[in-house]
Formats: sequence, structure tokens, C-alpha cells
Amino acid sequence: MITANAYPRKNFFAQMFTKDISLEDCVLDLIDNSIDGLIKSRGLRLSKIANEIWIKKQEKVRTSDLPTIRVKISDTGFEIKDNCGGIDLNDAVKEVFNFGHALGYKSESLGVYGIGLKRALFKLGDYFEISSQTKKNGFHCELDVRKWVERDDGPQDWTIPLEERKAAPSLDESGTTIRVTRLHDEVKMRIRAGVDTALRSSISKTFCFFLDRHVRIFVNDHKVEPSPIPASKPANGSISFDRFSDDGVEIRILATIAAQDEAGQYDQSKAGWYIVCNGRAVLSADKSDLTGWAVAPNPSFQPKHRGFVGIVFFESTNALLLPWTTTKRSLNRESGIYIRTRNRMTVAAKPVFSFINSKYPSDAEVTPVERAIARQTVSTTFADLASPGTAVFAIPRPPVIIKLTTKVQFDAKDTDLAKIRKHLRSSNMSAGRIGEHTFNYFLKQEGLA
Amino acid sequence: MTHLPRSFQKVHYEFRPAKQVERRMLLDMLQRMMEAGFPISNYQYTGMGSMWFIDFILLRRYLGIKSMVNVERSLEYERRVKFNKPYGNIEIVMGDVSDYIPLLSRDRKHILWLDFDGVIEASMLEAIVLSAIQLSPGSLLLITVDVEPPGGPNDGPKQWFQHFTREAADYLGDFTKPRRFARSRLAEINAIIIENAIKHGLAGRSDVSFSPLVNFLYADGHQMLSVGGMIADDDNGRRLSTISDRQLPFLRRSIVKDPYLIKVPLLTRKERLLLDSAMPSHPSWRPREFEMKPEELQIYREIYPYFPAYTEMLL
Repeated sequence: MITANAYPRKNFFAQMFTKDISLEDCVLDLIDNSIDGLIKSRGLRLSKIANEIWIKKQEKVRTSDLPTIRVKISDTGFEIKDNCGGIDLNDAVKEVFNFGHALGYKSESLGVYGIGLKRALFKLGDYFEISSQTKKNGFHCELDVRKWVERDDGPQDWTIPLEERKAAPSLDESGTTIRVTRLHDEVKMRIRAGVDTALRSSISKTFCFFLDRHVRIFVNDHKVEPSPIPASKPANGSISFDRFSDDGVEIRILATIAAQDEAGQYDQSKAGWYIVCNGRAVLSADKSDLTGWAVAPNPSFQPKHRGFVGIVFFESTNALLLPWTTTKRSLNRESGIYIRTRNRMTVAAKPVFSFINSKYPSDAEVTPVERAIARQTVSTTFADLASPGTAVFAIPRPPVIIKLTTKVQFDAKDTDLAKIRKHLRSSNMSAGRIGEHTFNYFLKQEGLA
Repeated sequence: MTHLPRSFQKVHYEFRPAKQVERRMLLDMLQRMMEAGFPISNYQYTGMGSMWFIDFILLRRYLGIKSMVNVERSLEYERRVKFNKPYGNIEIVMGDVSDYIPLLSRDRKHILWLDFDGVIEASMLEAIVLSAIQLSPGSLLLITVDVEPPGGPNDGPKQWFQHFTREAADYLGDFTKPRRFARSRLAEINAIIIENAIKHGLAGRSDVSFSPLVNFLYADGHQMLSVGGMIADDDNGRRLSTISDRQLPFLRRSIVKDPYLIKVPLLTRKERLLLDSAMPSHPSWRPREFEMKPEELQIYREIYPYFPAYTEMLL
């Protein structure tokens, strides 16, 4: 029997699969790994972190005591340094530098696919150093990526040399430092163009449920503040809330109207759907068909929807079951969980869309009571938004007063109005009175009155 | 809100014989489903019964369904609708049925009859999609629409195509050219649109599928299409398969192909009494007392159990 080679090539990993991810997303992957170190070293559970969002009485946190992740980025190099617990030497030897995980691998960590670290290192530059210390052991490695890629003759070339180092003296000093130098030209260009601002924005949205609760993150010594989701609750009413399990994933859906700012305005940039997987925001303020906009029967996003906020939380002890893509910045459209959840998002959002539509009726003369109601919202915590069971967005409306009249308006020539005033011998008759008079005249003449 | 006259303002709902035959057939089907083990009397019935509530009366009286909701969108008739409800515990919901569907509990089974009185519009398809997303396994979804040509009397295939493209573009399937919109195919096109809307709502629901049960075409004035079936899991599907087509010859396993045509022959009371006395009759039997076309007699053989009788009561 003839067999064909099916070996992986180092060049593919160094050159190709780095093309599908942005620089910011690579840094987010490295932050994921730091947070995973935090979880391993302090025994925290991601599904519990996600559940914390729903706890009514949140513990006060002294942010200065929190572990830190410090990102430094310039056109001479990149560094990420954390004190989140470090990488165990055994893990470094057996798993961390593999491309992907073995079959049957199951973890609730943010580092899901086993490629984030390597992809980030290859994306950034041609030389990296990693130093890590846990409370038990430590290691250091350095790699010239270009030379490593050139040696690709067999499995013996798919290794990375490590030096063992001593353990960290305390938990607070245990952590990992990654440095990348000889940055690629395209990375330098992005850095010079000011990628750190975009990076801070991405971090503030992606890790909004971790920042200042479990970790502090700095970019070039600037602390990143969490970007809050402007969900609000009607002062007298309810939000839409749905909760269900699907194939090992716990899903919670909220749909409501957004909180207004002090000027009574909605921030359109914050309207839309937020998708959160194990506490990490995958999509923020999404207005695309990915979250169902413009997919029948949902409307396409229009300015009047700037008051809409929807949030979906996916939580699982097996992160591979979550419907995110390998970049963790999008959703896998073929995921059955995603498709089923998107349908239920449609149902949850429907009453909010109906309310928004009633705020903006086609008859411009109407000043809907709904607009006054929308101003009476309460910014609140997620714990207050949650419901023990399924709930539907509803705001009690005052009794509907059925209008029996409709305003009639039209433009008339001034010369014609003057003729009518002269004919009626009423030089001061207003245009409105003339309109009424002629309308009633017609009704009477035609026997319709 | 539309201010066009509602159908109840144009047609006396109590005197639509073909519609009543449809109701009685559906009732028969639901009774067979009870025999097959579906707890129909515990279902919630949600309908758009307007002022007459005929379906509500039938379902309460013959199937014992207690939980009932009537959705009425003409807000100006709220008091009238509430006045006419035949039973005190029928909940009246004023508003669009699409706004009510998210409130349907997933913890119970439903019979939801989207009994629309107009030609297909986007808002109806929204209700169908929401229903398919929301209804729990074992629930029944029925949809009735007017399949007359949309628009004015001088419109033709081009204008009909424009209407359906505007209202149902996502569900038209292969009907992408005006020349395919022949008058004779409008019922089929409507059925395909409805079927695609149901499929859209069921996308991703791997535990259920839509099991068609009925596909009626009838006219008491306008030609109407009523299709329906069950949002069925495997267990539901097995039970449905025990209901044979022989017991219910109007059952259909597709909501697109081969609709059951409900035709109600015009007969006097005296003629009906004679015919009924001979039913069920041999296919070759004919009444000797008066002339009757063989095809009309055959229709009567099939629908005589469901044929409505109208009387005047002098009070």
C-alpha cells in the first residue's frame, strides 16, 4: 500500500494561520492565558465567575489587591507580564507548546483551542522569551522563530528547549513574562499608527466582567477601565429574560431598553447584542446579521433601535462547547447552540422592538406616551435584571385613548386664501379656519354631514 | 394601525359553511389525537376569534379545553370583543398576535390558530416564525390566509410578484420570476411561503420537526388556505402515525401538495335529510327523488358528518 505524507509544516503555523487574526486579538489571547493562570493558581472557576454576575450582593473588591496583567507595546518590542500564578513546568513540557489539544481535552478555561499563545508569538515577531514561575517550579525559554521554522525534517524538530528555574517565593510573585522582539514590519506599522488605543478599547469591552473584579490590566502603564453594558430596567415593568440549557451549555438571554445618559440620550455605539462566553465578551454592541439583525423576522438595525440592548451569556465547564470561533471574537454560524439561541433571542427581543416601534409611530403628530415611559428606566445590576423564570419585556401602558380625529394639513396658495377671505367677507380669517370651513362645506354639500 | 374594514365587518362569520366544515374537521382530528394519547384538553387554545368565538365554543364544548386566549388587534373594538366572549375565563388580549406569541409558555402545549383574514404580509410571517421558535413539542400550529391575488382587479402576475417579493422575499424559494406567479399557482405559492417560514423558525431545533396534518383550500367568498401541523418530537411523531388517513381522509402529510378542497354543495334542508338518511352510502347509490350530480354526491359523502346546519330561532 502506498501512503501519502500528511505532516504538519512549521511554515504553515508561522506564516499562514497568523493571517486570520488581528494584532489586538492576539494580545487578547495572551490575556486569556494570564486569566487562566489566575484561575488555576487561585482555584477559581470560570463558570462561577460568570455566575457572579447574577449575585445580588456583590462583594466589595479592593482593586489594588488584585493580580495585574501589564502589556507594554512599542515598535521595539512587546511584553506581557502578569502575576496570575504562572505556568507549571509539567504543563510547559507536555502541553503548552503543542499546537492544539489532544482528543478528549476538556476545560472551562478561556484558552480553549491550544493555539492562542503560539499564534500570538508568531504574529508578533521573530524572537520570543518566556519566563514563568509558579509556587512549585519555574522555567525559561527563548526561541529564534526563523531558525526554528527552518528545521523541519521530522518530529524531533518539533520541540522547544526549556531551562528549569526556581519557584516563586509567594503566590503574588508567581506569574509569567512574555517578550517578543524583532517585530514584524506590519506589526511595527500598526504600533506606530497607535494600536494601543484600539487595544485598550478591546480589552475594556472583552474583559469587562473581569476588570476590577478579578484582575487589573494595564496597557503601556495606563489602567484599562471596564466598559459597562448600558442595560436598564423599566421603572414599572419587566425585561425579557430567558434561561435554558443546551448540550452542556447554560444560556441566559436578556433583552431590554438601554439606560439613557444624563442628557436623556442613548449611545448608539453601545446599542445592539452583547455575547459573552464564560465571562469573556465575544461580541459587543453587535448590529449585524450574526446576532440576527435583518434576518427575518428581525428588523435591520436603524437609528431608532439605539435604545435596544440585548445580552446573551453562554457558560460551560467545557469551553469547546461554546459557540465561539477560534479567534473568540465571533460566533460559529454552524453551531447548533448558536442557531437555537439566536432564534430565542428573536423571541426575547420582539416585545422590545414593538415598544421601540410604538415610540416612533408613522403619524408624526403623535407624541407617544412610550417616549415618556422610556425615560423612566433604572440603570441596574445584572442580578436585578435576572428573573427566576422566563420573563417577557413589558411596560404597563395607560389606557389607550382611541383617536377619533386626524389632523388634515395641506399647502394652499395665498391668492386662493385671499379670494376665500374676500368671498366670506372675513379678512382676518385664519388659514386653519378656512380649511375647516371648506371641509365642512364639502361634507354638507355632498350630503355627507 | 390599519383602518380598512375588518373581515367581521364584511362577512357574517356565523354563515360561512366551508369555514364551518373546516372547523368540524379540525375538531374531529383533535378528537382522534386525544384517542392517540395527546392530552388535548390540557392544551391552551390561542385564536383570533374576532367577535364570534365559534372555534372557542367548539373546543370547549367538545374537547374540554379550558385555557383559552383570544387575540384581537383592533383596539377600538375591545369592549365589543369582551362583551361577546362566550365563557368568562377566556382571556382577551388586545394587540398584535406577534406581541403575544413570546408570552406563550414553553412549559405547556398549545393549539395556536393564526387565522388571518387577509393576503400574506410580512407581519403574518413574523408571527409564523415566532410561533415555530416558541411552541413547545406537541403543540399544534394552524395558519389561515387569503390566497386571492393581492392588489387591485387590474393587477397581474408582475404586481403579484412585487407584492410577494416585498412581503415575503426570504421565503419565496424558487419563485423568483414574475412569470411563475400564475393565478392558478397562488395557493401553492402561499403554502410554500408558509412552509419556509415555519422551517426558518424551527432552524436549530434538533429535537422537533414540523409534522403536517392539514392543508385545506376553500371559499365562502374569498379563496382561503388553511394549513397546519404539529411541532413534533419523536414520541409525538410515533403517536401521530397511529392516526390513519382512512379515519380522516382530509389529513395531509404535506402543506404544499395536494390540498383538500372543501366544497359545500348547495342543498335544501329536505334534500339533506334524505341524503343523511342514506349515509354512509354505497358509491353507486343515487337519490331517486331529485337530481344530483355524481361529483356533488361524492363531495357530500365525504363531508356530511361536518356539514353545518343553519336554523332561525324565533325568540
